[in-house]
Amino acid sequence: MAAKLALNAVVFATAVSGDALAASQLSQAEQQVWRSLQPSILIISQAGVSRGSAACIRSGGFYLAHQNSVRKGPIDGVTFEGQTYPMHLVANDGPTGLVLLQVDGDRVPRCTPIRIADEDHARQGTLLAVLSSGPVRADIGHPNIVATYAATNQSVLLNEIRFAAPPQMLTGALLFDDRGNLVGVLGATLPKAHNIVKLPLNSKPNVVGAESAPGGGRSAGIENMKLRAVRPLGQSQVGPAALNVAYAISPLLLNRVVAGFLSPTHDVLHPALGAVCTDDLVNGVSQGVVIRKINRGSGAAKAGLQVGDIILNIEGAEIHDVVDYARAMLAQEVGHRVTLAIRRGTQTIPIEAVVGRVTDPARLKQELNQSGA
Amino acid sequence: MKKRLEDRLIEVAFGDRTELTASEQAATPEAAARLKEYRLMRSALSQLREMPDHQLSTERLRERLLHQGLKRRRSFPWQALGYGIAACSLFVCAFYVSRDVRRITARPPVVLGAAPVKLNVDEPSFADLFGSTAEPHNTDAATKLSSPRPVRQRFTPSRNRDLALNGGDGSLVKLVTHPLTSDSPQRPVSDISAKRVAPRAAAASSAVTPPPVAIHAATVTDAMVLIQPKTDADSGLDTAQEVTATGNVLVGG
Repeated sequence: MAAKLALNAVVFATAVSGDALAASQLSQAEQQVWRSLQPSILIISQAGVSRGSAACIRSGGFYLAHQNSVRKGPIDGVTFEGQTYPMHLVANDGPTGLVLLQVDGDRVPRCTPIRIADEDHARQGTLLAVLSSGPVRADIGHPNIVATYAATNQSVLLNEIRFAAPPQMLTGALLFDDRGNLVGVLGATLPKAHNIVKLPLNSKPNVVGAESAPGGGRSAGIENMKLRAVRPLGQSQVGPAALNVAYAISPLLLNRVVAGFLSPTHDVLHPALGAVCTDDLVNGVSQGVVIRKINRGSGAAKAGLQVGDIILNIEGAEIHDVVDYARAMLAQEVGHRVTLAIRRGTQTIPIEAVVGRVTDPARLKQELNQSGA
Repeated sequence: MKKRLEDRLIEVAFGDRTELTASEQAATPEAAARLKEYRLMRSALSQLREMPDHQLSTERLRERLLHQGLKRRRSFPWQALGYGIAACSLFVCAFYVSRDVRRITARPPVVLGAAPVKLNVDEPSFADLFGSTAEPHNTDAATKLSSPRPVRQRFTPSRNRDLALNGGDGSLVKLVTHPLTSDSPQRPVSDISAKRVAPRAAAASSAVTPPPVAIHAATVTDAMVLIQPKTDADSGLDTAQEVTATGNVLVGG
């Protein structure tokens, strides 16, 4: 299996190499980080195809990955030394798309659990993105963007990540800062037509290369695979090349997800009131969010909130639009009581509500079925 | 004839000089004839009738020629000094006046009757909210993970102060410098920020004193990303879509 994986990686690297990829090396510091990370990372392989990467979050064979890296069927985790471990899906967090994988049986790879980056540090400097074919330099374009899943209306916080790797390599990429802390896991990207950032033609290339690759290590020829790297566009010296833009779950939510995955029930608790809102536009200016739907049995329903109420304030934070609303709710904790200021008709009244948890059983069930769990 | 000799002839003819020297008379044969002409001119001037009052200048010329001769007065240039002093005084006055004008125009406008603008320095931010030290609900986690530290405020107090102080002049869009979108050429960073802020800035500029809502709205530059249920064919990731206006976006929470 390892040989097959290495062969696939070589073929893929050859296919994407050429003008788009150029030769260079990681800096010494980055190589050091990369070496320290390798024991904590498995490449997810299914049917001989590497689909993404997984990070060890607990000794004993527990790994964090993105659901896009996992398809229906047997899952193998391959170390960078070429050892293969069968894995299975343990839990799936619907709002973030992250999954918990566990190595089957007693034979588990020795790994040091990775640490989650704190948000402040994650926003500084360049990142090391671990693709299914090796590391590449990347950076955070914009941090903590509010994103909403169109299917479920649930919100998450994402970091915008930019790098010059081909889109075929982005699936489930892990992002680490210069201390080796996990910054995020890629989960979404812009459509191809919008996913290009052109660089000035006179800028100088600033490239890094993969030092090693799964399944064959340095001897497999992967070390010759070269990837361009990027810097923040404001001071970018790379190019000419097209940069891809992708989105990764923010460390703020990573902490919550990892804590939930490592709990006895492997359950992640995302806070929610159960109220679906839109902007309350007055003369083109949003001055609150108006409740359009209230989930049955939710904290909002129990608190007496009604459809048509306008939320103006949550726990002292002014709510002007749905972005404010999403941020305020993501900052809450399940089970806590919050005070809301709402406008109902001409009156502004305070209401206390208990924060519940995001529940979307249908979506979770569907995703688990799709992934073969 | 040399000019020097001719000047001497004029001086002799009009009484400023007694006689020419012998060498001067002998040097130029025509000097005597020219001297005679000048003497005739003087006698003709003396025989001119009195000028009327409105021709004082001519009279003064004649008197000057007849009684004062052509002797140049080499007195101190009081007139030029006066002109100089006047010019300097004018320059100094102009300098001070222009300085005062600049000072007056640079002074911030005073809005009479306007309510004081409340500075939005203490805006509760996401960082404040996440700064809670409450333990995660899943307290049974076997691995101790670093708890999230408070995030930096999206806008520093100084930036909020600038926004508040400049909030009423319609310059809110220019002050927004923290866009949160991708830098794709189809969707430039400033584009989304400007679109989100523009209607609020317009509403704020229409009032004498911007309402607190408009000031706060200008600080909210976050764009939103919609995650579509379909998967991107190239990357295998979910498809994201940047949203420039959140008016129709349903957000659960």
